[in-house]
Amino acid sequence: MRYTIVVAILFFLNMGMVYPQNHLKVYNILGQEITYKPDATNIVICYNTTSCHACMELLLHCCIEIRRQDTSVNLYVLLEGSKDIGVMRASTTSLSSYVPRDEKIEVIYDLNPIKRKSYFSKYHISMSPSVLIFMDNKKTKYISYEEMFGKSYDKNKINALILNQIGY
Amino acid sequence: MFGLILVLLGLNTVAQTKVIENPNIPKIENSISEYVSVDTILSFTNEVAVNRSLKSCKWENEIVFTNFNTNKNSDTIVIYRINIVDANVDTFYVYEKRIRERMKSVYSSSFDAIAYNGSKIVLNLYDELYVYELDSNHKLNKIGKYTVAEDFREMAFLNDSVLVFVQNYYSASPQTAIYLYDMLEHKVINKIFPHFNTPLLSFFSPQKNFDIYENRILWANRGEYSFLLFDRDLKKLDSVSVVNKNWKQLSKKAKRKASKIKKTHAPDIIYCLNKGYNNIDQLQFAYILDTNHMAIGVHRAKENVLYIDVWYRIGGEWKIKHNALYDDGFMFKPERVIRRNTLPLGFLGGSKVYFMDNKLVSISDKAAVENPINLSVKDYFMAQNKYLETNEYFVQIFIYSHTLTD
Repeated sequence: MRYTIVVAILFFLNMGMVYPQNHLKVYNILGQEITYKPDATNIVICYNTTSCHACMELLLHCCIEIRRQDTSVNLYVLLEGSKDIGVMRASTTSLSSYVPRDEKIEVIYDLNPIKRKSYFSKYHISMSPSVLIFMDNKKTKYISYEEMFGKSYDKNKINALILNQIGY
Repeated sequence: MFGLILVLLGLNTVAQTKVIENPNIPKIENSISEYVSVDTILSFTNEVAVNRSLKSCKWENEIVFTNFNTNKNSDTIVIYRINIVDANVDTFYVYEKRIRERMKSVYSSSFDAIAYNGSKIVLNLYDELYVYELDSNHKLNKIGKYTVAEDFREMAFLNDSVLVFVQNYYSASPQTAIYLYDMLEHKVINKIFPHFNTPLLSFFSPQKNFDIYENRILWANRGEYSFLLFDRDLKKLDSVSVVNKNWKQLSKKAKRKASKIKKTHAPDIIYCLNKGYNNIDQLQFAYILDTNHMAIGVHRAKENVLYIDVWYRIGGEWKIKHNALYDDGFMFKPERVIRRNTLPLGFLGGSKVYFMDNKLVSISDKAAVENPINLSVKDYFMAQNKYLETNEYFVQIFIYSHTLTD
């Protein structure tokens, strides 16, 4: 009984250490946490270098359009974290070819998985690009690659999928 | 033919008896380091490659490359020419109006291929050839832009006036092809469709199954150890196939599963094959060293090591001269110091490599340390990480001397 209480206390203490999964945690390439607007709607495109080229172009285009129409929406691209900084640097360079010259998109890294699961792990992201949406009401929604590109490359469909999740 | 197979089977028996006990501690007598040594390292720190934008080619003693891509600030294409004898670098500039827009319109971030023949430079983007000529003032002048109907992935000059186009891609139709394209008539004058045993593997890099040397064209397979040599008229000169019962191929189940996916959905196919891919043996690259020598790079799944066989032609038959040489590369202890003859060859890591007589050129688009010579492995990686914290990888060229054909 005594041990059960100790374990329970430790469990609750540990829970306090765990970051709420519904809060977007944002890191730069050096693993330093950077600030973001938690009260806004944050669209996060999950990307890695094996992502389909045409899909990434299309998805990025859709998300930029959505941000233009609703300036309260923040747009990020999440790259898979790695212990090897070179891997993350190569992904960042690869990503830069998709981003239009006049658009600014913050690149974030799926780092610090010690106290929580990485997003790529939690949402079983094996195929990308895919989308995570962190809502201002603390809800997280995930749109998989299959949902968006499984059967077609349709801009209107992707637009509708994202807008529907945001609540338009 | 039967005799040749018997010889090769015999060679293979020899190769099989050579047991690699621990690939992480290579035996020095089997190391490529015995035969190669770096002479010169050229760093192009302002050239950041994006999505394999670096395109290069060779012609006699020269290497030509461009790293032009849609991330560049203008439509001026920069082309570099390196003389590998004296390491002299010439830089050429040519303006191509709205070329970045054109690239984006065909979902590309760079040119697809480059070819050079001493006086002409050809750039390929999608179905277009941009042709330039060097004048006596060392300036590049545009000759014209030509559209080609053939679908291809690689190209190279066979001689002054004939370009070779090579196709080897699962979702292409035909999947494999070698075309001879007359640069004067601007039309295909000959073509063949060589067999490639595992087209699904064309989605995975590194892959280098085609090479040209003095009117000879080399075509190698990937899922099996075999290669073909063609002459300037695409007539078969030689055919070599090494039979090995232990060679691990892509399973029928994996092939069947992948074949059900739409051919154009490359990421889905790659994902489907990814697990099995690491467990198969592959011929990963093939190069002609000179008229009588060839280098074949093989990845053996069991040992997880890439090694090089050097072949030579004697009495009309191909025989192995150096068997299973492997690059000890960075597979050594952190305190070991990188010397000129222990610098890993880039092509084992997927960079582009060219053999020219007694020289070997390796081009890397993932460089972060300008001079790794005399650094310990530990210091090298520290310097690399430090650089990459605030900078991007750059292009680097290694010029080696080699004695593989001596």
